[in-house]
Amino acid sequence: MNTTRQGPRLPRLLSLPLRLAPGRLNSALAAHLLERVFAEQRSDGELDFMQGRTACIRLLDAGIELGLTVRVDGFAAHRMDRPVDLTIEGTAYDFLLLITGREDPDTLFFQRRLCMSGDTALGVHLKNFLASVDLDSLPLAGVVRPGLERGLDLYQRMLG
Amino acid sequence: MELVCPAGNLPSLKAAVENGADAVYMGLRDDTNARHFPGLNFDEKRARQGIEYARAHGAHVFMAINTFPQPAGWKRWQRAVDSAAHLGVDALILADIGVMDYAARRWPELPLHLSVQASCTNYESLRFYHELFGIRRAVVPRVLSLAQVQHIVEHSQVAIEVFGFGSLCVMVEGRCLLSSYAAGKSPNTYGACSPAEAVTWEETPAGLESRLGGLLTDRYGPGEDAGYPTICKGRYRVGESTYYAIEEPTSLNTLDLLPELIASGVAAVKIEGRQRSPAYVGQVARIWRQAIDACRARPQGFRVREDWSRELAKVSEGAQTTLGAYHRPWQ
Repeated sequence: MNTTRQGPRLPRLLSLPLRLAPGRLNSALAAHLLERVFAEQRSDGELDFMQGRTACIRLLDAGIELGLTVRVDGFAAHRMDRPVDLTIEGTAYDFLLLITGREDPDTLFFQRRLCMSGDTALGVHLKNFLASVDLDSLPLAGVVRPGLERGLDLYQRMLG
Repeated sequence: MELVCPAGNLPSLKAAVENGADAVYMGLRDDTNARHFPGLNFDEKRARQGIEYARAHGAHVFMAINTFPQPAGWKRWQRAVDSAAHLGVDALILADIGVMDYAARRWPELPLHLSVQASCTNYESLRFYHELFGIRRAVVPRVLSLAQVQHIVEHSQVAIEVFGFGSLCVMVEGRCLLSSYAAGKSPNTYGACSPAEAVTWEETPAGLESRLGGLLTDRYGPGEDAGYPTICKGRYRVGESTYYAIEEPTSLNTLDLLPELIASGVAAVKIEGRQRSPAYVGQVARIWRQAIDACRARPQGFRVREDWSRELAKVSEGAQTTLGAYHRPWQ
């Protein structure tokens, strides 16, 4: 059976500014943003499972690779020339669907739109952690979420 | 007929209730329930918030304590029953006779439902559970045909809940040992068919390989849909061919049978998927709410809408659905 549906992919031109930024800068920015967004969850111990573990998030069409870890003092960038425990890959569009809660990660995984390799238990825990977070209660929710939703709508209109 | 939806976390519970669930079922964060995955389920704080939310919106909450305790873990199952009672859930979903006996004696006012894990397929057996433990509802296994379900409903004093939608397995419920062979843990006592730590996914030149306990369960070609890495849904070489020798990855979808299920007096329909996200729970609950309401309003003219089937197929395992054992026209 072959029913895989791929979502729209980012045109190379649009992803150029992101590609030009060095990988470590993207990772550092992502770590900083995650630290602000998940501060409460981290202090509640809900992110202890990520302590000292490393993950690589790869937005294939945007050419972005984020290396992330959680240390005692918070999220930090992880150098991608070192081994990682978990790798998750997908297009920018599918990641947008995922973080705005519009699509179910298992659905995207069944359809091969989201790929995961490495430590499965870590991946499952991360998936369940993200699903358990009440998106509207997060700091910056009022700024980040409408921004992401608008981005997704624009994406669907332009490329869908 | 009540719509009972899964909740693996608080946002899923809210999604279920917002989209029309009459009741939600949840589990605690340990091996006392059959969806034991890292980071899933409710601690006491979240359970309390969930119950409060459901109650404020007129929905019921059931607690699944539906695995079978081993001697060393007995206290954990007792604690789970006591926590659920203190939290004030509307019913417990139980499978083990010892746990049922404890709950019935310690909390006589707390309604008990018989889990599908008890694998109870006839009304005499239900009568036994009713007389001994006072169970008020039973979730019947997915191996029964519609005629057999109707037969049980007609003859049982216990309300009957059936599965309406969700992933299917080999359905040797409460007794399946397939994954113990590969992972060293049983879904019946540990609460997961594919314990996450025993699963690996690896891209190889031959395709995407899934392994359980090191044993190859499937290899997916480029673009081929993947499924859950369970033994029962793997592809194996039998003789000269390699195929789904036990079962194909697929989801049950009984929307077509809704008028018959309602007319036969089934008390509740259950949606599978506590391991899925709030997005899945919201989508499935919304469609089933609309379908049940439409069917109640005009049972004769009820037709399954094309967009319902499309949406449900999309979130299904293997992107396909079946009527499963319900449909056996020769019976």
